[in-house]
Amino acid sequence: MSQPPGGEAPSDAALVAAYRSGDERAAAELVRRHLGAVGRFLYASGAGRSDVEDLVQETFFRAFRKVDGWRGDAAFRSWLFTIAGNLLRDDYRKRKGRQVISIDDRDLPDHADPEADLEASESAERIRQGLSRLPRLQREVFLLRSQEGRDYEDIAVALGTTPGAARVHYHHAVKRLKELVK
Amino acid sequence: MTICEQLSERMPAVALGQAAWSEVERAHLAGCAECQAEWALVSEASRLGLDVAAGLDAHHVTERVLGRLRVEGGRVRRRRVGWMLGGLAAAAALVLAVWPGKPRPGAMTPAIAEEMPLPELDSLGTPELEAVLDSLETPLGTAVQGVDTGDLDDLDAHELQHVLDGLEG
Repeated sequence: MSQPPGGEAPSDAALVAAYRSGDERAAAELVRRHLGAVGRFLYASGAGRSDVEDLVQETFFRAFRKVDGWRGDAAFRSWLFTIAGNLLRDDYRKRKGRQVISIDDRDLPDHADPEADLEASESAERIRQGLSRLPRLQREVFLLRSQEGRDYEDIAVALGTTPGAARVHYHHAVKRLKELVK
Repeated sequence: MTICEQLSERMPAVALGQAAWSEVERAHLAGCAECQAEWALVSEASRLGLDVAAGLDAHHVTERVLGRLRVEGGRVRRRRVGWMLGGLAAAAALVLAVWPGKPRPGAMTPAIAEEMPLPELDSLGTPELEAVLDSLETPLGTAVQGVDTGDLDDLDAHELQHVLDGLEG
């Protein structure tokens, strides 16, 4: 893994290029760099606390397996979030086939670990519950804005929408969450 | 854009420490219940799952991911080699099925045999066909009675004429 001149950390694009040419250390650096954000995104999106690590692992596995699919137009992390979102949706569909889900659970089930949830603050848990009830695009736009500070242009590229639509999704998400967590 | 909309747009960046409220924004936030509710939501959401992220082991995740990728890579390579060998085997089988083999020197190919029909032999019985075969296999010279054709070089002109007469009947 070559360091850029001046000792700066290599960009995600440089790490991806290094991984494509067979450098596993580049993959390790990408995991180290984005692991926490992907884990938070999955947890905030409704993944159970005990499932997060497996889902994170699966997200990176899918990302590296299809790394040619990242063309660098969106941030690598945003691209990871879309993979994680797809993974969570697939996981939800699998679970849905095995259990009865309330029609109130519009998109994702809340399968959080109750014991662990006691540790989380009440308001944080209410937000998480509220997020799990949002349509997927609203939830992902909200999390990309509130946890990553992404601008609407980057979100639009990552989620395959327009900046204007991303902005509308964000404000709808805020409005609904305010109602849900009151 | 109203001041409420302006605050709303800037909340994620301020919550993540990427920006700070201006005095005007701070004053508005202190007196606007709607903005306070949104600020509480966004700032809480920006911290959501920090404890979960802290519990993730980067080394463990990396080892598992890279291990799976190596297994997957080996499987793909084996599948490619399998397809290649299968293709070669199929091609070889096709060549063997189509190729008639190396022609023997002097052997008549089926095409040539088809060009030489002998319908007059069709009416002959087995003993007669065998007699024809025997005569074909007999060297021409031996069919000439009374003349030794083993060494024609030794014959004089008279004797050669006799041999020719014998061959012509």
